[in-house]
Amino acid sequence: MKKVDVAAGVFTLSLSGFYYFKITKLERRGFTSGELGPEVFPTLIIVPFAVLGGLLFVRGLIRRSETKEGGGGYWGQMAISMLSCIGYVVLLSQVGFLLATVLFLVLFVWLYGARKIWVIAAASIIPTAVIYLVFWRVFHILLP
Amino acid sequence: MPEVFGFQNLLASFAGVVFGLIVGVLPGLTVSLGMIILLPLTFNMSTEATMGMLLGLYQAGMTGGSISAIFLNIPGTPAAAATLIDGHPMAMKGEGERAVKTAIISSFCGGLIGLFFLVLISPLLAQVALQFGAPEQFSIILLGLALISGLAGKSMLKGILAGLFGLIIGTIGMDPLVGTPRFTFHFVTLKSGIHWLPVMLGAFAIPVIIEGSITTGVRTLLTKSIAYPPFMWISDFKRCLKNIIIGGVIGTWIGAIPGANAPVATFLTYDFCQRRAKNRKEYGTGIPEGVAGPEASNNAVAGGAMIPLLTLGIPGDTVTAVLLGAFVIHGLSPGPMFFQQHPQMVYSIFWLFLLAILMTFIIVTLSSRWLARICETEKYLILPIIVVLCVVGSYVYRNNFFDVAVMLFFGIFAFFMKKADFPIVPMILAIILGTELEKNVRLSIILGGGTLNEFFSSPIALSFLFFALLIFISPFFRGHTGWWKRLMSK
Repeated sequence: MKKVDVAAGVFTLSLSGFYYFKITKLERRGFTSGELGPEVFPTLIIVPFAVLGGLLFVRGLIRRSETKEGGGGYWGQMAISMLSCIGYVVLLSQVGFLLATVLFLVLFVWLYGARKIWVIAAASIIPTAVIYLVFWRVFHILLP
Repeated sequence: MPEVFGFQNLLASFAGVVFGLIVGVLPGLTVSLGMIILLPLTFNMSTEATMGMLLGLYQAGMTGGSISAIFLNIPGTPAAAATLIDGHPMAMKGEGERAVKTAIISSFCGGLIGLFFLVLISPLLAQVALQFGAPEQFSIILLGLALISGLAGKSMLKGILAGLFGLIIGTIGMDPLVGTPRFTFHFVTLKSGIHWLPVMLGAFAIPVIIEGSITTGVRTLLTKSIAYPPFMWISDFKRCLKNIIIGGVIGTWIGAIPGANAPVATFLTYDFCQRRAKNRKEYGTGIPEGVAGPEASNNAVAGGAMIPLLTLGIPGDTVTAVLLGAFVIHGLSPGPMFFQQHPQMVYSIFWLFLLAILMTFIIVTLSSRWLARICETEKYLILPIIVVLCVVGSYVYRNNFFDVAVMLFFGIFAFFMKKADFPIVPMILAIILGTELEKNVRLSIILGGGTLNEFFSSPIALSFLFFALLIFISPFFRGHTGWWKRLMSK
């Protein structure tokens, strides 16, 4: 069994089911049964999506797994990268661009291996200031 | 001609090119946005200087997008999305400078091809483009989406699924014809839909960040760029010439069709070049031919898009809509009588277009070696800046944090897609084209009184539909590789 394809097939079929359910709930106010309403195009998409998703699921079941499946010992680092990005966006909405970006860059630059204080300081303050000034002074766009 | 190359026009064109390069390189800023920002500055300028500045921005923006696509795996503009398929792998193996130089030469030639068609056959092409109604629009978009299967990489099944997923995402928001909210879950922000720009930024850049964090022991993100021998461009140019010509012709043709846009042209070109190449299996691994076609195409789009604008007064996309605004501000109204009423201005525009192409070529060539130094930048410096640029790029487009969340979501989703061998490009292209596809198919059926007659009565639509079908079934005829085998292959 090829777990990745089976999982992708399950995701596709679940999404198809949910999407079809939402299609049936679409408002058709002002349309008679013979007219093209807002549900026509989504229905045209979901049919092949579900069929091909089912095909992927079956293919995953009958195919042999490959050795590279199962990942590796990098899930921790991946999770840290993803969480740092999410944390940065949350912080940005709370404290604004300048502070959030400097803090994010300090953390990220350190996580990626920089250890000298002046390197961390320069790598976090200079890009933040340059990006902020370019958007503010050149493009007249004030960052949050 | 001497007046066109006056000091004020040269300066305006130079400023437009520099500004266009910045706009092109920075993700989230589009050429049309750059033009809108510059437009108020042109109120007190002469019409020629205004056109010089805006056309310079147009050309340079198209070229600049390839630089971030090659080095950072982020297409600076949507038109550069096809460039990164081969451009970034080239940079990964130390051929960043070669990729940039290929992009510059191809963009230059593509721009010239676009200009050639603009000058010589614009009235004729404009008449053909004018015949494009809803069925023709639908069929050409469908052709673009059929190419998804060509770009799908190893598995056609996964490519089609990725494309269909993109179409599903494209249906979120208001119905394009009647305005009924669909799949919005009562969120006001979802009513305007999920825009492709943050999706594209996240889907291309975030997987690079995550993968960068798990590759330990590597100091730089890219291999240090190998110095590009001075005359190697000649052999590369010969190698890429066919793709450049194909890209130039397709770009001009697509650009001349109102509604069709640069990403369609670049992906069409890439797929066409790949299909006819003897080394088609090398495409996607980092070869100059894969950069040349799309780059020639996206710069030729600029010339093509000017054809319906100048001859019919129809702006084919947002960039030419802003250009039309600039014409109107300066008391000119492009259209069928424009060539008769303002012949001097028409030829000035042609010369200014040439000036923009030349100036972009010179400025980007002079800065390419410096740009190639990005490869030598430490990973810890470049990766966080990519994140910041993506966040800022997705925020500034509509000034909301929802787009930033969309960027992050699709970035993480794309990472898992890549892990499961799903191609990302078909999803992006489907999100970009989905709304237009739906609008045109429904309009065509409505025009045909609830039937498909409109498609069958249009030879142009029929031929595009035929080609779309041909692309889908072509693996069936390709040697021993059967349709089913390709569909089910890994």
